[in-house]
Amino acid sequence: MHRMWMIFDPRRVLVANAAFLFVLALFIHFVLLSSATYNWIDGPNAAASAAVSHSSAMPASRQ
Amino acid sequence: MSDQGGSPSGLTSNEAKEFHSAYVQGFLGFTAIAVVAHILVWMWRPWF
Repeated sequence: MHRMWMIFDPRRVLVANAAFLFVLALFIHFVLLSSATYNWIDGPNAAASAAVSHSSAMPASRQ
Repeated sequence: MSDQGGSPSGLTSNEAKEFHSAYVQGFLGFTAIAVVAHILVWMWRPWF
């Protein structure tokens, strides 16, 4: 198996591997941040609760 | 092709073996970190 490095240039493989994994990690993190369940910054369903919890001058019973 | 060079990448068989052990070590370390991260996320919010 180690003879593959006699065919592929290790420097190119390392750079390509690192670039691919970095882009993949960035992509997965942004997908998770855009989801409701796995957004670890705003918490679950932050967009939905932000849309519901608007402030109002009227009490809830008079709306 | 002899072991003393002339390979497409320019590495000898011993150099390839040396790099391969480091590469596998890095792969296993990365995989171990990824497994730990997945276990932690599963404990936080399982996805199945």
